[in-house]
Amino acid sequence: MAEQPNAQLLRGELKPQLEENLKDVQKILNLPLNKDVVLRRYECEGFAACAIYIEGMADDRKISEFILHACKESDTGEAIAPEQRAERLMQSYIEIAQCVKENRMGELITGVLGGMTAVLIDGCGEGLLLETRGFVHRPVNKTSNEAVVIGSQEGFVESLRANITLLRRYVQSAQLVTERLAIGTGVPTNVALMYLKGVCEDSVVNEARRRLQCIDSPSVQGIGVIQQFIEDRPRAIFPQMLQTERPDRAASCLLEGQFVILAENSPYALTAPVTMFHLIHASDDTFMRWQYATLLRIVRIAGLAISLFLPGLYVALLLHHTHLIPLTLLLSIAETRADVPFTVLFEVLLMEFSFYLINEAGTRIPSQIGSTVSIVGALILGQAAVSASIISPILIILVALTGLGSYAVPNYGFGLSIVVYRLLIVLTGALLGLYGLLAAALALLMHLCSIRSFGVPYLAPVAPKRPHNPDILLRLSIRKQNRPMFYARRDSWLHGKGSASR
Amino acid sequence: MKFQIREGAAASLGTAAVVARILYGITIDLPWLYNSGWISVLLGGVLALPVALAAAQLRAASAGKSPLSALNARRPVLARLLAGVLMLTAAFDATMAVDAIADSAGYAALDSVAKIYLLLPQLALCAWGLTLNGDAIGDSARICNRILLCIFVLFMLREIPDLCPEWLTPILGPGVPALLDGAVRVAGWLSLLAGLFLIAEPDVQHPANAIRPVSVMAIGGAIGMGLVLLHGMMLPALVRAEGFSRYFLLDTVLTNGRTTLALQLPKMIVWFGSLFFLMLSDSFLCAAMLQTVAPRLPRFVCIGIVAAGIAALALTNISASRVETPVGRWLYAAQAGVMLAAMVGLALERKEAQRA
Repeated sequence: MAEQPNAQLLRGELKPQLEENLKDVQKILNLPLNKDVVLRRYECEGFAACAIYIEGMADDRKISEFILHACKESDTGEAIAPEQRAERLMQSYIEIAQCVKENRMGELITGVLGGMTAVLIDGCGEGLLLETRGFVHRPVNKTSNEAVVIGSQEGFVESLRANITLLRRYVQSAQLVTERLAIGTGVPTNVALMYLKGVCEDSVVNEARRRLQCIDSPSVQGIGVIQQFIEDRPRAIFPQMLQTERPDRAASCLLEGQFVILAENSPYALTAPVTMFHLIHASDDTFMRWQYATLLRIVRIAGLAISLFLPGLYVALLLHHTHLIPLTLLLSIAETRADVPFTVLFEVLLMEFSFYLINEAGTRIPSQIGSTVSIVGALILGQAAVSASIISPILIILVALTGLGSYAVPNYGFGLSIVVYRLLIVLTGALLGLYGLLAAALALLMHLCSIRSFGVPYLAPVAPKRPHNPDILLRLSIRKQNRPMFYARRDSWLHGKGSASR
Repeated sequence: MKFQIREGAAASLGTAAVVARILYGITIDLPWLYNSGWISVLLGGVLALPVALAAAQLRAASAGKSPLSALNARRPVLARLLAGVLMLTAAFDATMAVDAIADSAGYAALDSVAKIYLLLPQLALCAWGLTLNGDAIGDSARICNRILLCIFVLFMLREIPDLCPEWLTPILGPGVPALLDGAVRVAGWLSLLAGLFLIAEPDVQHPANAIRPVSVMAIGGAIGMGLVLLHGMMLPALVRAEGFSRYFLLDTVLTNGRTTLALQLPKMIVWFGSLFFLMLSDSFLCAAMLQTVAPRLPRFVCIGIVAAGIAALALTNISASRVETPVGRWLYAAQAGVMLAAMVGLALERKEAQRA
């Protein structure tokens, strides 16, 4: 594979001569063609220096006030030895909070590209890298895909620094560790791996770090891409990591012994290890009284089961086991289907396709004409199709229930995987009736039991059995939720005796 | 990669398989027991107790490993011999299970479909399960046991007003020899757990899931007996049980002529679900034993041999020829013989250890 242009220069170190360094920088950053890059020369204590930054990425105000102005104001005419210039500037002149010395060209350029300012000094083989990031980003706002009734309304944004800060506000612990990595061999993306030391298993953190470091793609543009690289079974349909845009959810994962991955330009956090039950639980289950949370969870699980099995069961019973349907219901179905020219299977597949076509169109359509989708869906595909006897009314109810059931699942990826398996179950039900449907369901269950998420079985703590809080299918009182999660460290300092509620 | 299964998973799978086998065996294979089959189950449980105790002894003597692995390390020839016997018994029972499912599918809806097409989905399921390995099968059995139990309880609550305990009398209707014969068969079915006890790996990290052969067998036997009892209370004794086809017998089990039609759906779900686990348990055991007998065979070859072999046996219509009747008597002897041989091996080792 061809090397990146100017790779040799990037691997090199700074030279003492400012002009030579600037020549290298201009080559690497394609100056003067690249109009974003600013080279601001100035003088301080009689020697030349140059601040390098990218317009729009760095905050101009910080640069002019705390670097340029600060250097000029502090100019005492004192002679400083060349090799001490960088240290002296850092200690006595520059007023930026975060400032490090750096002599590697690659690191300086990476910092500049990320919004920092590099200061190169004449006569000194070291430069300074200053935290001056000030690019525009979306402010913290309500979540768009994980709405809750009770609980925090904040959501992650595209700035990695802002996301880390959000999490640190929720988990104010000295043991919260943020490891920074750059993922991508060509165009690196900044990624943060966060975990609570002493709560998250060391082996899990090490494995997460290893998998991140093993990503050898030239660029990784989002958290979803990272997930596809590092999850245990990328070919499995079910997700093995949880993507959340809620800081409170991510914080809760940290406290339970999971790790969280954040990436620059991604308003989502990725957490693991997860089980299937994490993907079914909603954020506000914890914030509600246990009675309401339990009720809603039962509704959600029932919706999931209906979404997965109802169409397949309908097809299997109508095609192969009509005698199992109560007579009055059977007569009602027969009446409504009397004029429908298609088989049950075709009807169901057609309606499923139409439903998800409307769904997809609704997601992509510009908001100005969004109302068109509801008109098309409700009137044309619903009422008109029934009036024209293309489909039976009972199927509309069935597909609507199925769709609502899948939307009750809080996790988008999990909901989509249910759609895929539902089609499989419909087809096996159509071919082989109840026998085929049950065989497909069992195959699916065995598949779920075989999945692991960073070593944790997907259906744990139900199968295999693990000690757990009463918060899997039903959520019982918060006073009973005092065990450490089975995937956290057994000697977790967070879940010791002192932390048990009375 | 080895076929392996954790203790907890083996217990769940074994329980599901044995309960299904007892119910199917008593109601379909031994209809001449009329409504007294529960006595055979009780006696069979007593007969199978020594097998469970032997399994418990073997497990205690092979700390940290499965008994078969420990035996294979010390006495490979004996281990392969025992594995060979267990493989054949598991293959036979798996064939019965596969036939039972195919007959049930034919009864339920697909009576005009050729048998090969009824076997193919099972082949696929069997191969899929074996590919995923024993833990996946056992863990899914654990979940299904609970779901099927809930479904069962729901439809039994509806059936309770119509249960007739007086149909359990006269309890010695078929005669003592028939009951004892049934007891031997039930002991053979319960002893199928012996294979799972021998290959289950201890769960070192979570020892709470340790297998306890006696309790697992007792639970399996008790549930089986309970189901047979309930079946007996739902259906008056069939006076002429011989000569009835399997379809007729399936019909009596799944409908008994009195069940509300709507209740047949949950009954069928429980029926098929439990039979699937019986098939998976037997085929997993067969594959694991095949791998012990021929360790150089790659895993996917073992899977192919087991799946294809069981399907081929099933296509010979072995169940229709009622071969289960004579062969089933020897199932207990074979399983008990294996455990006895393993105990002898253990005793010899202890003797050698004492001498040393």
